[in-house]
Amino acid sequence: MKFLSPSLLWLAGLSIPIVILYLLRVRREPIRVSSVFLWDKIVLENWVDTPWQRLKRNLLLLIQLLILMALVLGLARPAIALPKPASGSVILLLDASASMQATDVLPNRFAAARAEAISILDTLDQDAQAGVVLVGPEPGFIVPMTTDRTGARAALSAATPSSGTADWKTALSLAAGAARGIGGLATLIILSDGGIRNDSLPALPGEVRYVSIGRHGENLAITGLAVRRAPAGSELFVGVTNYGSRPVRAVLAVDFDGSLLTAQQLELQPGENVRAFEKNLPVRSGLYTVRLEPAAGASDPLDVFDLDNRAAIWHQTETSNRILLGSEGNYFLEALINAMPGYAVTQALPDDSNRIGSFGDDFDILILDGLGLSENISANLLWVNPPENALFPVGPLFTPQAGNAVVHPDPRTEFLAWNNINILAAKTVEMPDWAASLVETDGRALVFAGEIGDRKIAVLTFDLRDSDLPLQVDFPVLFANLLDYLGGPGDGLPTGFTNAGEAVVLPAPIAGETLHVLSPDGAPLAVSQSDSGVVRFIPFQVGVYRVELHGANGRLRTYPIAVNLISAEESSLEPREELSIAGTAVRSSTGDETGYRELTGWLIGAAFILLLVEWLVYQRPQIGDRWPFRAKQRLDTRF
Amino acid sequence: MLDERIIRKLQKYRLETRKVRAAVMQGERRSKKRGLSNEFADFRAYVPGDDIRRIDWNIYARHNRPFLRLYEDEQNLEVHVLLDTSISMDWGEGPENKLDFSRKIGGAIAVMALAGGDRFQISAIQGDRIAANSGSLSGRKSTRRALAFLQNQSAAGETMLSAALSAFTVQKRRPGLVILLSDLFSQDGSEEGLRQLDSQGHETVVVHILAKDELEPPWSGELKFEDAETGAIREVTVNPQVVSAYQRRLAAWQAGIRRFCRHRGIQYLATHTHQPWETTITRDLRRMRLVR
Repeated sequence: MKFLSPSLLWLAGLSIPIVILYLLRVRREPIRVSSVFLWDKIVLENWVDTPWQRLKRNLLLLIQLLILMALVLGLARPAIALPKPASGSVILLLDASASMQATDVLPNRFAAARAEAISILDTLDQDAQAGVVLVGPEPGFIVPMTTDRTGARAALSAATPSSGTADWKTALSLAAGAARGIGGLATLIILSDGGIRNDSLPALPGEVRYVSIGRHGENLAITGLAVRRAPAGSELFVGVTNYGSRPVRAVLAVDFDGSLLTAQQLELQPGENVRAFEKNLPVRSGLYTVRLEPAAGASDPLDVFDLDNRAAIWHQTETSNRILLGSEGNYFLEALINAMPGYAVTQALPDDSNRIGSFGDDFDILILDGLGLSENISANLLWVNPPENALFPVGPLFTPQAGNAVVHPDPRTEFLAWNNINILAAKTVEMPDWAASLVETDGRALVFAGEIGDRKIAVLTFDLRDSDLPLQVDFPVLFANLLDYLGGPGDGLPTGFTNAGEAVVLPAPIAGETLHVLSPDGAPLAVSQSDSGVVRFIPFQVGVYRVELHGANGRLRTYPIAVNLISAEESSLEPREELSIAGTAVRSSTGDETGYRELTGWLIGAAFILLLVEWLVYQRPQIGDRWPFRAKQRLDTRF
Repeated sequence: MLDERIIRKLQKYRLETRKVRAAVMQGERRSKKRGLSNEFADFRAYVPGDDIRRIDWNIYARHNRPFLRLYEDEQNLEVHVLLDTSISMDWGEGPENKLDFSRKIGGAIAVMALAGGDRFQISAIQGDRIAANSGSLSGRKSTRRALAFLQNQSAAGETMLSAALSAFTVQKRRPGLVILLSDLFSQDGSEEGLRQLDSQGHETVVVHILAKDELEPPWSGELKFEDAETGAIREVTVNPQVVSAYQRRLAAWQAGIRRFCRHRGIQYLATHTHQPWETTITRDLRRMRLVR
C-alpha cells in the first residue's frame, strides 16, 4: 500500500494541540460545601500522576484522536496496488451475448465480467476517461466517454446480458470510432469468453487487450430443430451436440402443444453431434417443444448453460394459403394476389379448352379469371368474369349505372365502400339459391358468394379490365375479404422459429385490426411499424412470444412465435485465451502496469462513524437510563 | 425554639448515667465518690423514706415542715452540653440545618436535665476554645434561660475540637455527663479531646450530626469545592464511582470514631438532620439508655 498524497500526513500533528487541550484545566463549577475534609483523600486518589492519569482514562480523547487519524490518512489517499490492464483512457467492451449467462463462473460469466470492468475503472487515474460498450445483438455505449466513475459504476451495475448473439462488428466499430475521437489514445479492453466470429472485424486503433472470462465449456445444446409435413405424417428433426470434454447422458423430451409426446435417452461423447428424428407425428398445426434434461437418477445439473437446452418450433399444417391463379395475363389481378401476404400463389395458363387442367387437391383456393371450371376441381373458388357454367346461369352483358351500386352489409363486404366504381359491362347472372348478392346494381349482382356443400364460391360478374376497380382502394379490400372467406386468413406470420436477437417482420394488420406482441413472460412488447404498416421487433428472450390481432368487431386471433437460441457460436462455451481481430492476435492478460485502488472513501466513512460514537459517548450522561448499553455504572468521559 | 407542649413532654423524661453515681447520701443521684462533703448545696422537702437523720431540725422548728439538707458532692448530676458552633455546623436548610438541629437536641437535654434536678451547663465551642458558657443552671426555672442561650448561639470560626475539649477539661474538673453535639469536622481531630474527657472521669456521649448532602453528595461533573470554614479549594470530578468512594470514606471514618469511643466507654451516636430531632431523643438516646 502507498499514499498517493503523503504530503498531507503532517496534519497528524494536530493531535498535539488536541492532547494539550485535554491537559488544560477544564472549567469547573464552584460548589460551597460544609467541609472538604472527606473529599481530600478521594481527590488524592483520583489525581495521582496528573495530568497523565487524566489522559490515560479519557475515552473522548481517544475517539477524537482516532477521528483525526482517519481524516489525515484519508486525505493522504492510501491505495493498494493492483494489476492494471491499462493506463490512460479506456474503452471497455463488455460481452453481453447469450453465452455469458453460463454459470461456470458464479453467479454467471456476465456478472464476473461486469465486476472485472468495475475493478478496472477503480484502478484508472482520476483524469482518465472511460467508456463502456455493451456488446449484444444491438451494441451501444452504456457509458459514454467520461471521468465520472460513480455514474459508470451505476450504469455497469444496471447492465444485463442478452439471449442473443453479440454483434461484435458493430461494437468494435463503435469503439474504434470513440477511440479515434480522443486521438486514438484509448486502450480497448474486451471482456468476453471469446465467442467472437472473426469475419469482417474492423481494425482497431490503439492498444487492444482481452480479459478472458469463464472456466470451462461443458455444455450440451440443441443445435438443430426442424419440422415438416410428410405424406405419412409430420416429421420432427432435433440436433443435439456435446460441446464439453466429458461424455454426457441426457433425456430428450418432445412436447406437442404442452403435452409430452416422446422422450428418449441420449448418450453423447465429447464433441459428438446426434440427430434425432420423430416421425408419424400428428398432421395438424401446433407448437413442438424439445427439452434436454438430466438422465434419470442424475443429481447434478445437465450443464452450465440452460438457454440452449430447450427450443420450440411452430408447425403450421392447416393452411389456406395455397392459391392456384388461372389467368391469361391480368396484371392487376396477378399483382394483387401475389402481393397478398401469406398466400403461396401458383399461376397456371389455360389449356386449349380455356380451362385449368387437373391439379389434384394441392391448392386451397382456385382463382379463375374469365376461364372455365374443370369439373374435377373441388377447391374453393373465386371466379372473375365467369363464362357459362353448370353452377349458375350466365346471361347477357349489361352496363351498370355508376353510383347506383348497393353494398349489402356482410363480413365479406367489410370496409367496402364501392364509391365511384365504374364498370363498362357486367354479365347478368341469375342468383342461385345457394348464393347471396354482396354488391349489386339495378337489381343485378356484381359480386355474390355462397356455398355448395363444403365448397365456397365467390363470383365477380364483370371483367376487371372492363372497370376501374383495380385502381380503387376497394380492389384489395374486396379480394382480401373474399380470400379470407374462401380459405382463411393469409396471416403471413412466421412459422418455424427465430433466434433471439434476430428481427421478426410481421405483415401489416388488415384494416380495423390492431396488433400486439407479448413476450414469453406475458409483458407487452414495444414494436415499430413502418409507413407501409409492416411491424418489426427484435425478440431478446428465449421462449414463445404471442401475437394478438384484435379486430374491430371484437374478433381476436393469436399466433405463437417461437424464439430459440440455436447457435453453435453461443453454445460452444469453451473460453478462448486468444482472439483474432482483423488478423491481429490478442491474448488474454491482466496488464503489465500497476494501478492503485484508493481507500480514502473507507477512511472518511470511518471518521464519520467515529464522530457519531463520540457524540453518543459525550451525550451518554444526559441520555441516562435510555442508554441501551448500560455499563456497570453511569460514566461520563472517564472509564 | 421549643414550644410549651414539647417542653412539658420532655420534662417527663430523665437523663440516665452509667459511670457517674450519686453517693450513699440521699439526694437525687448517687455519686461514685465516697464520704460526704461539708459543702452545703440545697434543701429539699422531706418525702417518706428519706433518712430522718438528715432532717434539718432548725428549718422544721421554724416552718413546722421537714426539709432535708443536701450537700454539693453527692447528688446533682452535672450535665454539660458542648455545642459545636463552627461554620460547618451552619449547614442545611430549615429544620435540616445542623446547628438548628443541635440546638433542639441540646434544648431537649436541658429540659430533661433541669426537670430531673440535675445541674446543667451549655458551652459553645468555636475554634480551639469555649466561646460562650451559660453558667451552671438548675431547677426548672432555668429552662427558659438555657433555651435562650442556645438560641443565641450562631456559627462562626473553624473547628478545633481536641483543643476545645482540652480547654473544657481544664475548666470543669468535676466529672459529669458531657454530651458533645458536633459534626466532628475538626482540623485537629477529636480523639485527643475525647481521651482527655474520658481520663477526667466524665461520662461522655458523642452525638455525631451530619446533613443529608454530607451523607449522599448530590453533585456530579467537573466541580470545585470550597470549604465553608477554611475556604480551602478542592477540584474534583464527581461521578458515581467517586461518590461511592466518598461514602466508603465516610463510613470508614465513622467506624473509626465508633471504635475509638467503644474502647473508652464513650457512647457514640451517628444521626442526621433529615430525621426529626425528636426521634433522636425518644428513640436513639433511649436505646442508648441515656434517656428514660
